[in-house]
Amino acid sequence: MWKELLKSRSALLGIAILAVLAILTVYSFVALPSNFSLTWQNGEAWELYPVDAPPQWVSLFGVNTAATVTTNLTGWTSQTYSVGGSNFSVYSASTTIKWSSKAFPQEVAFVPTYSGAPSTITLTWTKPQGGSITVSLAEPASGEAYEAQSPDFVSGASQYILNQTGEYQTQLSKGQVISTFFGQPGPGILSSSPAQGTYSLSVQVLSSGAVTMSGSPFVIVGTSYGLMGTDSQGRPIDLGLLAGLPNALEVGFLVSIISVVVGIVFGGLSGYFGARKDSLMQWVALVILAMPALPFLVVISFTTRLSILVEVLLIAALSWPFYAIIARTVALSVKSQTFVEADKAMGVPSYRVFASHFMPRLVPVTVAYTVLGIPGGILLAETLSFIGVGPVNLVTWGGILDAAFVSQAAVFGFWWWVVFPGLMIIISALPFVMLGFALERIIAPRVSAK
Amino acid sequence: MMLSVEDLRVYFSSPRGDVKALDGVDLQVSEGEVVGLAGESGCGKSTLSLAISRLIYPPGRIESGKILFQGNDILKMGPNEFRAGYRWKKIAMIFQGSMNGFTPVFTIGEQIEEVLEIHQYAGDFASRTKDLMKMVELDPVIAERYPHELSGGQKQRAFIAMALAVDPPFLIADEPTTALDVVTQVNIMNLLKRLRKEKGISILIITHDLALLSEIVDRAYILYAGRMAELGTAEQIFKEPKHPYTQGLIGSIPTLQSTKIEGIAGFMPDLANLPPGCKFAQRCPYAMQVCGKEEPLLKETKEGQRVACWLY
Ligand SMILES: Nc1ncnc2c1ncn2[C@@H]1O[C@H](COP(=O)(O)OP(=O)(O)OP(=O)(O)O)[C@@H](O)[C@H]1O
Ligand SMILES: [Mg+2]
Repeated sequence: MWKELLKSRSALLGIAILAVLAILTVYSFVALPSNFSLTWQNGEAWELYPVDAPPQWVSLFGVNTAATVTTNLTGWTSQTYSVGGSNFSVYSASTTIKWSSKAFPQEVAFVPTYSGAPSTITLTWTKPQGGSITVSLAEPASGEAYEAQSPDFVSGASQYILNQTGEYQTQLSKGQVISTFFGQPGPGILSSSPAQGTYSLSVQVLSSGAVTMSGSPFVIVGTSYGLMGTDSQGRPIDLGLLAGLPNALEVGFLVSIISVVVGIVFGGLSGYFGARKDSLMQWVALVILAMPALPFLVVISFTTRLSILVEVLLIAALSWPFYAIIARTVALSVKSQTFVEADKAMGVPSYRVFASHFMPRLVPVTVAYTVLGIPGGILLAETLSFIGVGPVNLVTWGGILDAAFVSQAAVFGFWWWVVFPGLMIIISALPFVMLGFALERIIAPRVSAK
Repeated sequence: MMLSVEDLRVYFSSPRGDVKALDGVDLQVSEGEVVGLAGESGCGKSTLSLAISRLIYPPGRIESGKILFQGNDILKMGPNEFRAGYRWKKIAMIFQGSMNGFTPVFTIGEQIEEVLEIHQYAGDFASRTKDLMKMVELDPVIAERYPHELSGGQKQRAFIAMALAVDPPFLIADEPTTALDVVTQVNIMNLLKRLRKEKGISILIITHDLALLSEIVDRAYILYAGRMAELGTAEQIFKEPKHPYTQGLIGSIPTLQSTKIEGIAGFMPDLANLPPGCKFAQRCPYAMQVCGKEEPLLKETKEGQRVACWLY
């Protein structure tokens, strides 16, 4: 069976996509903290991200956007000086930032992160053409974000403007500070365009006691972000999709395997028993099959908040009859085989007849339909999240789409917020469909033959 | 008396009403006797053999009647009692198409041994399997083969070996030779004959091949539309058939001398919607007024021969 499967091109492609999804799932567990779903809902966590930002690569297509760049200052070195009998230390680190965007960023921020009590932190921002802006933070707080509008940034910028234009300005807007940081040096600095090239940033921490610096980010918040852009809270879509992948696969797989196994056992037994029991069991299956799954689930979710497991069980409870009907057909065809009748005539116990004749036909069917059923499970679960009745405290693709819908992303042209989650749902469904059809083709002749 | 079926009625429920596959049938088989049951397709022959093996499942049901096996009514037994004491141990069956009765994925030997195991055979399984293969004139190495590696005739013999596994005193052979070539048919029949002679088992042979039947049976029953038309010794049935239906059947046997096969015109009536009177009346060349109104009962015309026909 495996050999035949590997001969099918669509199955191979399916396996390849599946492998990528598997790697991404593992990556999702490694890269995202376990409490990521809480972080996702916490607005403060996304303050230094651009909101409603398109993917960074749109600039390749001539869209004028600024990149978002986060640089962690690491590799701190220290030097200790002794002046007049008292000791003090200077910790320093530096980095370079390549800036190629033709647009100004929205914001710059520095987040000093340390333990200890430094007296001042000095940032020196050197432009590609030379000349630097100096920002001094007196007794900074660890973990605090110092943004363009903070007094220390404003005074550093005023100092630089005085140098360039000979005018002293005390009231600088956020935009003016950013222009100062990225504009072309010269008298027209406040009305110039961004200077491209390599900027360098060096940070000096002055302290009388010991200080342990950890990677302190310097964030340039642009107007575009990463691979897939951000939503209206600044949350990166790619992170959300990564976080939604494991639960999508989990729901899809669990829904499928539970409903297929229940359905196949039920239908298999129904066909095996035959007669009155069969009619009764078929009736039960048909009644449940006739229930429209989505409205039913919506009504239930109004009364109880779903957990992922309850959601899985509910969807499975509504979808098994489909498989029961298929399994019954298979069982009936097996039952009419002469050797099954012969076994009964010989007095072979029914459990043995079931195990030796029915199981071998039903197991391949189970495998194929489990694979084929996964996309349905994924789709239904994401649909529930989309209409806002999915499990809470879970980052789901449907949930991201729901947020996009609520924020009228389509109206405002935030296409990335809709396209990527949608694509992800399709891509996650695709390999199972391709594999499932290939499996079905291989299995079908076995079920019907003999 | 080995087997005595008394006034058996087996109905199948269907949307058109009950299909009366057997409607008051009597049949006797004595110890060591070979009895034939003949009739055209759909007259209820297999239904009778299945009823004797207690294999009538819904939508079928046994409406009434008795099946006495060595004096005990097997229809009154619980399923466990029948399975433990009768099924395959006392009543074995080779049935229509039983050469397809082997599971494709196990060897012949494995399947014979499974039967020995299920029926708690006391001796050594392997040597018993070997003996059984010899008994049906098959090379014991065939036991190691899979069903698809055997010819139709070999499979039929192997199935007979399986039927004989636990020495049943009674064997039902429902069309044991259909789909086999003429030479193999004769060989199988001779095998059954020999088994009867050597082991003294009683056999009920069901077939529509009357020529084959006449070779082997002691007595024969002719079934028509779920009831007996005629019964008698082989001599009586094949040499001097009384019932017009039996005469028609025997006329249908192709011989080298006859240039044209006579056959019987028309069809058997719908078993769910039987006409009144004699069920053969519509096709009978001798039909009279009474035939369409009243049903004839079996009447003894000669010692051992009984006919259900208004002509006698
Ligand atoms: N499971 C069933 N459900 C409904 N009707 C049935 C069933 N089994 C048999 N019958 C009906 O009972 C009647 C007798 O069938 P049976 O199989 O006994 O015929 P038969 O004499 O063995 O025929 P053949 O020579 O073709 O084997 C037929 O009319 C058939 O349609
Ligand atoms: Mg038959």
